Amino acid sequence: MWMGPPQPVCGGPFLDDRQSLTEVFMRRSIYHRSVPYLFLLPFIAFFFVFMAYPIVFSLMLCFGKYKSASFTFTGIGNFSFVLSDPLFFKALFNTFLMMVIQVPVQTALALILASLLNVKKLKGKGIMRMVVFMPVLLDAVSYSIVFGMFFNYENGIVNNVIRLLGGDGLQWLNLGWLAKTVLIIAITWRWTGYNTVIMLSGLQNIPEDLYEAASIDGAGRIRQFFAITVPGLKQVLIFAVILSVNGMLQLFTEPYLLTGGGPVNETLTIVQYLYKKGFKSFDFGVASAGSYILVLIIAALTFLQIKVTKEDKGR
Amino acid sequence: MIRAAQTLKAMIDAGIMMDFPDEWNDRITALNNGQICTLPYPAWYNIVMKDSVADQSGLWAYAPMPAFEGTSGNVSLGGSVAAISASTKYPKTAKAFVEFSLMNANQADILYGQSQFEAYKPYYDAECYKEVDAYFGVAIGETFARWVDSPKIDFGYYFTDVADALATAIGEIFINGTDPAQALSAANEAAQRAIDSY
Repeated sequence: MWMGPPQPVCGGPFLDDRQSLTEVFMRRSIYHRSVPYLFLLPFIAFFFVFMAYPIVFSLMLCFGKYKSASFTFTGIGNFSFVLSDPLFFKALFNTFLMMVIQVPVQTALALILASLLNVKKLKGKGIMRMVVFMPVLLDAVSYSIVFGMFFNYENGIVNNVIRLLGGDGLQWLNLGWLAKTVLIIAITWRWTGYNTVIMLSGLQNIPEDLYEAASIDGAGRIRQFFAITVPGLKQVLIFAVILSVNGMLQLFTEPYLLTGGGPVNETLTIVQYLYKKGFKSFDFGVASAGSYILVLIIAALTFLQIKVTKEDKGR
Repeated sequence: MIRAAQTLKAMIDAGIMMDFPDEWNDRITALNNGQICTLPYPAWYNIVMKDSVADQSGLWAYAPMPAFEGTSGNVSLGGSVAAISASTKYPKTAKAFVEFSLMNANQADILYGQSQFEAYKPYYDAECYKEVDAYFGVAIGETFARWVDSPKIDFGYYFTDVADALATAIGEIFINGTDPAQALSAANEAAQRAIDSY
């Protein structure tokens, strides 16, 4: 039975039974009414200054040249420069190649780790989860530098181990595909923990009875994994993959610090290219145009990923 | 440039060049491990050597840079520049300030304390430049004052774009083994594209 709109419990001399909060609100003085907006004001100010304004300003920058604090309009010249620059396409290729390898590897690894961490009889769960998650807590700069030291040709620990085992040290940062491998290893090491924790929480939402029913029916652990765990985790997997893809498309810190764009631009990423154009050559028009092209690419990919996975549900 | 690239490539192929992916740190490590016998690097590096490789005092000497016949090997590497914005309202004042602050002996005194080699030529006659350095056994200031006849290079407005293209070309020549003439002309095109877009 409909009891009327919910009444606030505070009661007291300000409310009677037939008034709603809105009416009370409107009856208060201007001062009282402005209080919520005043509370929001710091964030709104921050948002406009540091987020809305730069977004709009850089959109304007896309269509001109910004030199010595004066702006000249040049139409779509910046876009045509970026879209005909072989270096941009090299950066695009590098970024996509690393993404296409890193994201599946990382997602699979995170899934396996999450399943292992979810095992009921596991001892020391808390510590293991902490250890798995800790790389995420490190700051990007320190771990990039340390990984650079690990893979140093002369003195790095990786080559020292290889030499100990009788092999020759590898030119990790001097060969294109090896440099990309180093980056993929570093990024996977860092972010797998994050995805593991997300998937772990997803795993804990899958009812135990499904597994019991499956084992009663004779399904082995592997079969259970593919028939129950993976479909049950679908939303979480989609979420993790979209985040990883976005992260890889915007990759900057690790290549900048580890390889500086790599031997002969082999590990140059899109954002690195934009950084070079914007802050080394001071061509903010081209950098803004490039960043909006990147926005479109990310938006298109995200839309595609969501669409592809939604289609399955429609069946 | 092609000749220089070919010579350097020959040195790399002969195995006498050392590779530093992380330039600064790897160089110091190599120095400490006694892996370097010749280091083509500028005057101001002496303070770094005194800090990081103190135990090699007395083992190092200065020599003039090698060069092709008919050229001098001396160049200027590093150092700082003062720039005045083109949109300033007071260009003459700014210029006067730069002259006041940088073209006198006082600032050279400060920099000398930091073992920096001075660009202000009248200072080369100062007493401190004649002091013999314990680490190298010579008067550093006097030594380098002899080698300041480097060719005047106009870096131009588009230095970063050209330097970028050159860095790619050098990587192509030394790592990928591309023909120097080809790599340098590709760099020329890339730099020209960037410059044209301004």
